[in-house]
Amino acid sequence: MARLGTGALLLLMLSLLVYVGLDLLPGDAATARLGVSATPERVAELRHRLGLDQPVLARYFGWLTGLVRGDLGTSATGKPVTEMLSDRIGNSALLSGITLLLLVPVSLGAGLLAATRRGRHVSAGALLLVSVPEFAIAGALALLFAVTLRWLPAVSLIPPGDSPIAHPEALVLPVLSLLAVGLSYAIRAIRAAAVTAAASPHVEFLRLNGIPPRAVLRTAVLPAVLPVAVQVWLVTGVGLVGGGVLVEKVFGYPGIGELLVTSVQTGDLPVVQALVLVLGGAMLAALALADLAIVPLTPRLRTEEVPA
Amino acid sequence: MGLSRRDLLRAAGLTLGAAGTASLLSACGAGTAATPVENTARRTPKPGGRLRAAFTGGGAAESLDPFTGQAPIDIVRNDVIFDALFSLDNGKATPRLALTAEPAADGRSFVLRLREGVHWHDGSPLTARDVAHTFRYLGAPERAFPSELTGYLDLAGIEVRDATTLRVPTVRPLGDPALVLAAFLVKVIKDGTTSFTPATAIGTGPYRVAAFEAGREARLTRFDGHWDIKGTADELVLLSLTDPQAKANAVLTGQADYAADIPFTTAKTGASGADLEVRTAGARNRVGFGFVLNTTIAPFNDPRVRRAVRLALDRKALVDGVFLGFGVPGNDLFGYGAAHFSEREAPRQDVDAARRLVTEAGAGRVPITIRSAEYEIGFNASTQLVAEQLKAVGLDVRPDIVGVAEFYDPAAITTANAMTFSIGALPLPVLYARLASNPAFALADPELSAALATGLGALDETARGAAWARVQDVLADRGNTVVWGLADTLSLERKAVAGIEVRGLAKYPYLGHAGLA
Repeated sequence: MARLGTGALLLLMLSLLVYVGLDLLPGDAATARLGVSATPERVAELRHRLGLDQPVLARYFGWLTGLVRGDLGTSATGKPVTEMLSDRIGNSALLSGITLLLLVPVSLGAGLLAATRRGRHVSAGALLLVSVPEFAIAGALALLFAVTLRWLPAVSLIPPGDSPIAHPEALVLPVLSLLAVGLSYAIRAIRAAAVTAAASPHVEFLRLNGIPPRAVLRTAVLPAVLPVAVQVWLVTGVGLVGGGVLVEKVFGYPGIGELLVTSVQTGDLPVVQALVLVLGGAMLAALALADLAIVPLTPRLRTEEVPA
Repeated sequence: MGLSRRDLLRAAGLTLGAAGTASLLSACGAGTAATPVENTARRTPKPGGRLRAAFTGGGAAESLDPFTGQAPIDIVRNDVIFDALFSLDNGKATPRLALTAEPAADGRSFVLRLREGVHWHDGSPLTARDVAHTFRYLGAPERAFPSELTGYLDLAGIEVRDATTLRVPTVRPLGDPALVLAAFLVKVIKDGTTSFTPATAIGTGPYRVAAFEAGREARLTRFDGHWDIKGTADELVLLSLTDPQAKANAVLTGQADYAADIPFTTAKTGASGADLEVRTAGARNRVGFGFVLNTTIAPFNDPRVRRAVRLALDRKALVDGVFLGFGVPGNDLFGYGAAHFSEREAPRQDVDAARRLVTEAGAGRVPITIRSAEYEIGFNASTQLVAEQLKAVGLDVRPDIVGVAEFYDPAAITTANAMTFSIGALPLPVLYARLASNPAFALADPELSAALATGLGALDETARGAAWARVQDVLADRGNTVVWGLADTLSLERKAVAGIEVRGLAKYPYLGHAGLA
């Protein structure tokens, strides 16, 4: 319960930070829309119409009351923000959900392998991949699998009304790009935990007593790695939604990434604020979940009463 | 959270990524860089079939409302669903839904006569009431964005005379109201329309909406009751993509037939595959790239310094460096391709003369900022190159590169010494009225003001022509526009694509008669 309260408070603080912070950025919908014809009078008039001439805190509280009712306000284009976000959030969640489903087994296996001598190439590969930005990976994958080999579509075109799930071929390259990004970090983190666990005295004790490596892995290394891995997966999963921004743009995937990019360019603050808040809220939720997941995975936390 | 330094770096890196992909492509030898083929009307498309075209989209902000959607895909899509009163063809107003716009003797109003026998997609006939509703909707205070037309027309005072005639009062004398209406592409909506869903977005154009989802695609089917030459393709599929490389990739991999307005780097890479080619919209449709100098503050309040800038530029180097050769040097005047444009020679580079002028005016000590954003591909690169060239003649120039959303911030415009600009074949009355509306872009000059008023308001075509010649003489002599280059508008297409027309700006082609040959 206390955790829920802390979460709510954090979310509230985050919303204020997001709203005021983004408002302070230079440029808004009025200047972006008017362009060349942005005379001071026209901008002032348009700011008034869009309500941008109100004090930022007054606008924030107005936004917040709407937020409580599930109303994210109106975009500078006149469309309700909720309507603009609805199916796009689902599409992005689908993309990161599939990526996460693949990420969990692959990163665990590869991370454990990377911790051994045999897997040092995996370790080096992950290190290399971690330093490549996702749009470069996405661009390279598109070039290789779509433009050159023609195995997969270069652009994820989803006809109106369809869910991306009905067009699996359009999901492959975006998922692979995101997976590459998420994997590199997850493998490194899991490998580090596995290396530490393998070097611990009790593992050495088991090994010296002739317990087979498989059993050591199952009974001693894995339990030590899992709490770390779960946290990495959850945080990476949410990070994928945000990190997917550029991947989505490269493949023209109809998720929130494209929306974020266009909204930033047109100074459509209500949409940007809503998106950032959703991403921030998801991150907070994932962190809370990760906190909760540690308890059943860590015997000491399960048996002892730990002050929250 | 959110827009962190990381995001900004990523966004910056993306452009590099696109360029990198392009160079990779050429390194692979996949492309054959050749001179682009001109998109002419010589090829005739076969009726029927389906044309899939990729345009720069606006994400979830896209709209079937012809006065709300601003992304290129919005303009192209709504151009074939709705018809304009007048459209621009080779810089001149061509009657579409309107036949004539006859100005009154004082130029303070005009009578608009509509075409008869035009039907909406739902079968009902077009009447003057529809046009009156369109103007009312354009100026409606409840709409977030009032039309720039309110600066020309008194939208509240419009009266319907009969079923095909309206009287429209103007807020300033207009000698050629049809040209102004054409420049703003006033698309007519049906009386009573206030929402634009696929079901309610009813126009008179050659195509009607079958399906639409903002940021994804629009499927348009031919409307056989169209009053003009019928549409060519049975179906137009307009694909919305925000990434320039994604647009090109869609054509390269056969997901689209046509990608509009591709970056110079992509064009340089060339078309891989025998059935693809890079095309240009032709010399007539080139877009002027340059700067507008702020004459309200030092040093560009001094005509000598403005002249120095024009003499300092190595236009050829800019055309090669920024357009990658896809263009020609400009002559410092905007409006290339418009009627009455003055095709005088570009000033010759004379670094010594420029340096002398700078010294004479004592301008070397004044810090100069040129404000730029990647509004169009090449803006920032050209600003940086120009800054280097101006430094060479003794001017203390620093580029001020900002985000697209804040580019036209009024306070910043006032204090910047120059703004990076591009203008296509916009009619001169609208182009110069736009520049004059902001002191930071305007040139306060009595001779210019008089000529501009005549050019906009004179009823006599010859008088207007003479006035536009005078306007451009003044600007060539002591003006504040610097147009260093005219860029090609490039597209990547299947060779079979034909019938792409330009009505106004090549960036927003007219697809009403496009199809596959």
